[in-house]
Amino acid sequence: MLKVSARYFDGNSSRARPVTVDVTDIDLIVTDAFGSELARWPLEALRDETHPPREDELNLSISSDHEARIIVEDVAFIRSLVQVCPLIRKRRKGPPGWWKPVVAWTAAVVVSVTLFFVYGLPLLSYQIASLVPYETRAKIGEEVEGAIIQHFKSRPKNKSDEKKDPVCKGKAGQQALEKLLARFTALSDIDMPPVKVTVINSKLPNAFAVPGGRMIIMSSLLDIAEDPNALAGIMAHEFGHVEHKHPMSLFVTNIGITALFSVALGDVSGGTIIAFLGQHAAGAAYSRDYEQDADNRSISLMRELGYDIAPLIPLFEKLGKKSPDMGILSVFASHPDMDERVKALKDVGRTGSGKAFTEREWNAIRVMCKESV
Amino acid sequence: MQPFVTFDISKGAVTSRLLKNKFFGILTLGFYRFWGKTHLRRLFWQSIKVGGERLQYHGTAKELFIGFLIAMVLLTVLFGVLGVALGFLALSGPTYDILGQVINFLFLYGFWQFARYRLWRYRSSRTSLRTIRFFLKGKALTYTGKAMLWTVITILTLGWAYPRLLAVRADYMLNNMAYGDQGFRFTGNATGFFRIYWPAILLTQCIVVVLYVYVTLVLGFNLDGMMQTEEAFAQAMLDPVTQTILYSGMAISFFLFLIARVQSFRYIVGQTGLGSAVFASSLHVGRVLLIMVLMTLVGILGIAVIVGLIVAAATLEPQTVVFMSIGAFVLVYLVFDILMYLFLIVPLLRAITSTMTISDPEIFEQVARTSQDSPTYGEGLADALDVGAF
Repeated sequence: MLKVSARYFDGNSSRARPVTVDVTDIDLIVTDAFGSELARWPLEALRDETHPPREDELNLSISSDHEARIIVEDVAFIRSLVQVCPLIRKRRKGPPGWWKPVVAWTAAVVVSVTLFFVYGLPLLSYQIASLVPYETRAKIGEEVEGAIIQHFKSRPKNKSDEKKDPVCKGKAGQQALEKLLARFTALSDIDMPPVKVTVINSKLPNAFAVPGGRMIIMSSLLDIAEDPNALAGIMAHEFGHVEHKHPMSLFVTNIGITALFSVALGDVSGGTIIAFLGQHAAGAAYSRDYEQDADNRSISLMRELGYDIAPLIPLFEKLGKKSPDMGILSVFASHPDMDERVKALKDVGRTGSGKAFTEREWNAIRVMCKESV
Repeated sequence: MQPFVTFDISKGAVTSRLLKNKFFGILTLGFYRFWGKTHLRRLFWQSIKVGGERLQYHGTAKELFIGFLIAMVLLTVLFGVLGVALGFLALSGPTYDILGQVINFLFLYGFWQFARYRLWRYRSSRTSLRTIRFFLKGKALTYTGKAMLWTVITILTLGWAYPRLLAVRADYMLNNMAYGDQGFRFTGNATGFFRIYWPAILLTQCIVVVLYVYVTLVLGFNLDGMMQTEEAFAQAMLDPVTQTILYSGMAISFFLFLIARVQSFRYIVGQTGLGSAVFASSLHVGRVLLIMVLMTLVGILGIAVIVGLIVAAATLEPQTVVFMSIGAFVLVYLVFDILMYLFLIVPLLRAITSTMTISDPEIFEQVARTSQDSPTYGEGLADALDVGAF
């Protein structure tokens, strides 16, 4: 291999020294302008610091903790040197134990994020939900309910239904429902205004709590509930949500989760997907916890009022058949597994002997939505 | 004075690097960004020659990753609490909402300034020229405090303290900057920035006054309360004259601030020295404007093509529409960044570097190494807040 001229930096000053470089079998020899040898670098230790590599320039280093460099710009020399040093464009291995800080800090992130999700956020969101004044919650609730009613309005089965108001107006039924809710409210330790209930005409059997002390019951649930106490059980469950401000807490929690995920996955690439999935999974996990709380509260309410909650079991079983098992997707499910809920109710046994509604009330409730047709 | 910086980058190399970054970014749900960024920086750094030698980037993806992890631990608590607290404030009514937004802005702005200084410190310490490293002394917290103080004063003085803010920032940053054993020095002051910015500030204020006078006196709207102002402006925007004043005013203001921005860049460079040498820049506003106009045209063309594709797809079967929409989304996602680099960042860097001059290029050969502390880990906060283009 020919001797070629190059520039040598000793790593201590910025001055370049004009040198010639020459290759033996095992070394690269650096000679200064006066012919004296400046350095002898083993070929196997040579690395090119130009990334991505260039054909017309080599920036040679000898080790990761030595700043000296040799710059070679002779294309023919570069080509032949690359052939005798196969490792020249490989990266050096990191120092031993380089991975330790990575592992330590990853663990710290996992711990702090977990603590925040498990303890910080639920606590914080309940306190913040409680701090939000009732008027604000009521306003949010009104808007949410309005949106839900609008949603059911916009999907008419056929053209003649188009202008129909989906809210069921049966007066006697409405009064019976409110009377039961008043009994629940009287038992609560928390000072709260009367809970508002709205029955909506729909084929989906469902019921849910809305911020601001509101509850929505879908008419199909009235049809498939065979016993007044089954409906009362559902209402006690939703009352549990209302009493503990679950809808508002979930609302606040979602703000917190969104803030966290948007920080963790700063930029748009790919991260958006994981942020979306993560938020849904995390949100659903909190939601499952709340459902558990509400189930427990429904049992205690029914017991205190002396109503038997057992008729809720066949209703749950019916609902369980309607919603297919989600399998692996159950991390995204907002409710606990129906089989487990049924099992929990069976374990409780009889909670009383009374009926939540009289025969008359029950009949009025069941025809609530039919009167307006 | 003679030119001393060249910037020579292969567009093919930039494009293929960006494509790789996007591809692996999707595969790894975004976590490739530390590696992608490092590769991109190596490419950009070594494409810049200062006094005939290439800059070298020494940072590693591992440092960036650990920096990110540290920032996550800190921010999990801070931002979680703050985010939830602000969510609550926003719900409690309009007064709190404004207060919440002010706190939010100040907090984020402070963090952003802090992160920016740390980012500069990290990048300087990972940059070498002729085997000697750059570094940034000073405290990020001091910088943040100064920047925050003068930002608040700028807001209170309706923009008139802005030149002082620029002077304070450049002063702290550049006087703490060093290359080996040679320190950079900045001799500029607020008066210098004021001479550059006063027309832009004055004219912008005049436009606001004209708009206010027109809306209140000519159109007769009542701009007393917060709510009324918002409603009145929504109403007034329906009036063509208001629209003309607002949009032409925004265009004039944008143009004036662009001129001032380029002039202030020249001023900063001209007031900066290293050792016995002084720098100068002859960057021309026209050249910057040309680059921006070209980028806008390319952007409009790109959007037109995508809209055209979607419209064409809409006439086809439903499955094809979904397919084409996803295709268009991927196209936007992949292409927009590449266009930004090829038509904005690379040309701007070329314009800036080619117009830079120095009194004594020999200075770069007279620097000795110092053993200065450098940050161990990367710019975590900056990454989390997405500060800096690359």
